Amino acid sequence: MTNAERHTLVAQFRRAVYDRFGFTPFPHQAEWQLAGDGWTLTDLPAVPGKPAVTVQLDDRSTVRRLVIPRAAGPASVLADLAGYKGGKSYGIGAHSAGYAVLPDARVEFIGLEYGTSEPEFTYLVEFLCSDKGMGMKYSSYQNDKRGGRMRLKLTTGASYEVRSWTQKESLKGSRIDAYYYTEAYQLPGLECYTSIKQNLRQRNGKAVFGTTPDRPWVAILHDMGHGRDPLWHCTCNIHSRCNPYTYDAADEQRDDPARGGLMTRERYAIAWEGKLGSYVGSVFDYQRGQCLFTPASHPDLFDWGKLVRDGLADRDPRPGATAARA
Amino acid sequence: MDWPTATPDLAPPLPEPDPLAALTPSLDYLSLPSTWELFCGCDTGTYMSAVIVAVPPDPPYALYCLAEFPNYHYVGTEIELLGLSMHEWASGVTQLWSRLTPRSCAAWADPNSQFKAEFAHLDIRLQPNKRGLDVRTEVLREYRQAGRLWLAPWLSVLPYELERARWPDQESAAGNFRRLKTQDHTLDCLEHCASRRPRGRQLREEAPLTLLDKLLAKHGIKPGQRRARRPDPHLGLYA
Repeated sequence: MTNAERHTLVAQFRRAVYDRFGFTPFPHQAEWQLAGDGWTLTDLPAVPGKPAVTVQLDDRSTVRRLVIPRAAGPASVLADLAGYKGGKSYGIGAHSAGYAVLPDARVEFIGLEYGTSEPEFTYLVEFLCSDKGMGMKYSSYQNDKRGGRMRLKLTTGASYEVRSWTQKESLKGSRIDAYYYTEAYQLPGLECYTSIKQNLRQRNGKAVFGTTPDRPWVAILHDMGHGRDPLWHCTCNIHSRCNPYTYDAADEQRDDPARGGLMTRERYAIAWEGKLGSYVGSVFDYQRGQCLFTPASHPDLFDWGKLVRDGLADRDPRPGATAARA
Repeated sequence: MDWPTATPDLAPPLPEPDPLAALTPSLDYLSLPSTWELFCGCDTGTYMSAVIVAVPPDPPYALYCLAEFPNYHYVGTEIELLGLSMHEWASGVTQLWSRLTPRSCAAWADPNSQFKAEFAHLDIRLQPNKRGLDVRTEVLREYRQAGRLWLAPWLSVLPYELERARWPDQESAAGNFRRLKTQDHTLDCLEHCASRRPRGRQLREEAPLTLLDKLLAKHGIKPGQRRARRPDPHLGLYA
């Protein structure tokens, strides 16, 4: 079976799991999951005859939205940076369920400790093995976070395992279909991906990061996912209110610094707004792209004759200047 | 639910080159007024870097960072040496410096730098900057907060380090609260420059040429150029 066939099978089985379970993803969950399948979720309403998905909005209503093919094809590294209780863990648990259809699938959840991945693992078991879900049989099921034994081996042959980054040496040397990084901000940095991504190569596997953007290193997911590499995708700035099942407006007000709440502005931006924590502890409060001097902002610092001659400008914009393209 | 199925996972095509990227001017198009003063900051060690800044003669004496010369780059969040020899690195600095100004290159650096003699061989005079890290950071923060810091659009490492500069979680055992000293070599250079609170020179009459300058001018040598050292043939780098 080719990798393309494997991925198609996984995506179709995932859809079957969602249908059976009655799970309608939130827009941010659908966005990164579709990016992994080679699609882009739009804000446009569905058009008859075109691909579309149903998503659940923050008022619990559902709406069908148009999806279009992703320009760069399926993304291999997916990041979901949302606020607390935004549905990141649930999205990961749901997404990982698709691999159960493959007889030799190997999926690993990686967290700092075994207990970190417990919610995702529990959701996965619920999707696959509960009566409400697929009701699949397993040959082995262990859920002992204290002993570090959290495994699910289905009778189909697919196996899921929770791994701890503290035992990272044991992560080397296997063929893996997907790594799911849980609370990735707790991990030391992108080395948690770069040191083991070779295991994904043979099966063209996925790496999924679901995390609040608590630590500055998470920004690399954001940088890569927004244009630096077409194989990466980043879904970010997801407010906690996207999940109507856990959102509490009164609690948000208590934390909102603009209303005299408990949190600092930075902490609030991360915890509730899912914003990238690039300003956390920042010394210079600087973000790339700020305070640049350019020919437009500082025309006196540039040689306009040369700029015009080389075709980088049409004319010298300064009053009284004569340089212009012939 | 009409969830779309996966598309075949063909290798995605490389992104098309961005035509707008070519419109970003480079250092070649810079044309500084003659009254602006140039300053250089330097950080020495295994990871070396230098920054050249220009300062106008009028208040508020904003800093314009023109160029950076790190001998390393960042891959993801990891720092990696570029494999430049010290001579290769230094010649990049001195070439640009001599293009911008006839003065010899003097760079502010840590007072305890062990590279003073070595850099003197390479035509870079290291000036000890005795301002402490706390002061340097605060002065640069002042520039930044007052909007007196400008970066050239072609810089890459300095903006990265500026963005990533972080305070520690808590003060040290000695009661110091200094920014974390990680991934900051180019930022250090800029802090060295800023901490001197540089100013451009006011317009004034040109100093009269000395007899030596006049003699050299006859041979087409500018006053600043005569300071350039002759290459050291023992290194075999100047053939």
